[in-house]
Amino acid sequence: MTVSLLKISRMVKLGLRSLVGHKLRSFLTALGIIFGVSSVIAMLAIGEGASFEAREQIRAMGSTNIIVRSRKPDEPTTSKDANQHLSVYGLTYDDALRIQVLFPRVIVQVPARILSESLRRGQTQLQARIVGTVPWHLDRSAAALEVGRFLCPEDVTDVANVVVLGNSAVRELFPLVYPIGQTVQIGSQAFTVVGVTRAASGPRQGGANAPREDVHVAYIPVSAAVKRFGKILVKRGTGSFQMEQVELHELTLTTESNEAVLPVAEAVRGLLEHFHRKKDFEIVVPLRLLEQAEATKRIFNIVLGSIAAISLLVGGIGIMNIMLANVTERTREIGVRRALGATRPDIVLQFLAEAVLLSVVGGLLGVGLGIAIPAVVSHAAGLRTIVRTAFLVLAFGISVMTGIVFGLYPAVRAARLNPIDALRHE
Amino acid sequence: MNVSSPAREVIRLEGITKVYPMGGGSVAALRGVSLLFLAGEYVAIMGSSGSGKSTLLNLLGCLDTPTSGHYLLEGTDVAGMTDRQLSALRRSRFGFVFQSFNLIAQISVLENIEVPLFYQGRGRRECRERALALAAMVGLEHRVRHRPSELSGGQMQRVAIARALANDPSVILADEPTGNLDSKTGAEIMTTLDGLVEQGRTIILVTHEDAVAAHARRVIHLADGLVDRDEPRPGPHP
Repeated sequence: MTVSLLKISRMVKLGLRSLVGHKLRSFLTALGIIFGVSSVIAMLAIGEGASFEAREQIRAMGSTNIIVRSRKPDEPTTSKDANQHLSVYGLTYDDALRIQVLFPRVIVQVPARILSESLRRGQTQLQARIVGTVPWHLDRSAAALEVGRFLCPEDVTDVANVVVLGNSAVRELFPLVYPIGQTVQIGSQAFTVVGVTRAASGPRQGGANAPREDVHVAYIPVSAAVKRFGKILVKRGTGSFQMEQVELHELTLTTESNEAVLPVAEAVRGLLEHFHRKKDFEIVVPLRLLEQAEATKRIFNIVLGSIAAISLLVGGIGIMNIMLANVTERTREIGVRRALGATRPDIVLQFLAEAVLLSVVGGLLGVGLGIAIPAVVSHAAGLRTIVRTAFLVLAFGISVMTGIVFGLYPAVRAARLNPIDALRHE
Repeated sequence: MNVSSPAREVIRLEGITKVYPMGGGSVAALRGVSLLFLAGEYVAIMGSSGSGKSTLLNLLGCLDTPTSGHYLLEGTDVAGMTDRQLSALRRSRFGFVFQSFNLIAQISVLENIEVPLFYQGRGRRECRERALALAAMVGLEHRVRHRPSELSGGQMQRVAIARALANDPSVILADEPTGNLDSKTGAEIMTTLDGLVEQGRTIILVTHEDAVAAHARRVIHLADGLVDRDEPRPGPHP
């Protein structure tokens, strides 16, 4: 005879009855599962929350990005000149240019150097944002070329005194004259106008480098900005002046894909090392950080999983223990049922149903507690926790599995009993 | 007398032995028993303690398998059957009545009577109706909701008889059915069993009381694992 639904429902009823008949015992047994399941969920939720935060932070840097930073080289500071010391180190615009030329498919984002100099032609003087930048700036800004040309690589390498004006500045400075080829004064320097830009319509790209439409703007080669308008940064240290000269603090390289990140980073490192004698730069690869974070999460998950497995193991042993006691206690009943025609599978089913019921009830209560604990932790400790449905399903599934695995042996043992011996059992 | 036409053979035992391993050696409980039981027979098996009568009853009820010999149940040899097949035989051919009643304490009288029906896979309503009818038959229709522990010994044995009848068995096997009852209640139980023979069932009971054996029409005496005497009991039957 096969196992029918009717049979299963009868067995479940029988099991429920037996569990309700021993309320305290059943509850204590289920407690192991309840704590096992809820701790699994709580740990997963807290771990998920923590790693989610970490990943978000790293992802904010961009997974296809490589960040190259200037870094003060570790050099032995002699006490003699420690008080007044001019240190020159770090990335240069030449570095940026080299990278861009050698890796044309990589987007090199150079923070523009903003000067607060005035823009003057004849008697007209404007307050403008003078942006020292690179030739590829225009491709990534919201502005578009109106007439003439934008800055070209030679402008940067030659430190040319050329300027590209925003059209609002052009309207003010050259109300009547065609601006290209004319000269404007930036501070005390004369610059030749080579092009005019206009702010593009449509949504602006955000970011600090994007020009604001309400301000007059002028673009000059970044090298010119550095050369003509100074680049020494004076830091006031404790009781001493420390002068640092850093041309470029940070470069962001955007590659086309995650796969390209690591090779490009290595190649850039090689390139930079070739031109920098001192180790005055560092390369940060968010993708690698992300991978490390994922690896850490994996380890974390293994640890959590082990703890969870142990707690559920303990719960399972509790079930097994009580079911073995149950089988011993009810040996006579097993004998009677066998005499009345129960097959071995019938007996297995009966005791297995009871064990699984214990784990199901324990699992459900554990899921409830497992949802509550992260909420309390979030509230009390301010930790971010994320309870995913998958955690609940996983924890509950494992608890049911525990019931089956640990209930099977007592059930099989019950069924293995010889009907005669079982009947004679006192 | 009672069987005019040739009666149908229900059980044939041929050279049945049963040896139990015990400590280092072994103990032979049955040492070659050959018996024939016909449909509608009312048989008492008697014998001193250790004569093998309980072992014989267990073998007859397919609760145990013989060490050697043949057991033909309505022509089919039971010896080589699997546990599943033996279970099927128990739930279709036999009804058991035990000395200590062996009711399941956690469930009601009605549910106890339903147990064999449940293992036959009968539907819920069918189980209930049949169990109620059987409870009424043994005069316990007003106690069906009670737990076995709330009944008297005689009532418990009547529940056990109702349960033994639930699957409409051809053979009722009773092991000292009155052993735990006082003589008056025991007599009532025997009367109930007598009624079952009239329905055409075969009853085989194990007893050491002559008064109980007196209800049977055939008495088999076992001694030391062998059939000592097998004699019809003449005279009027109660």
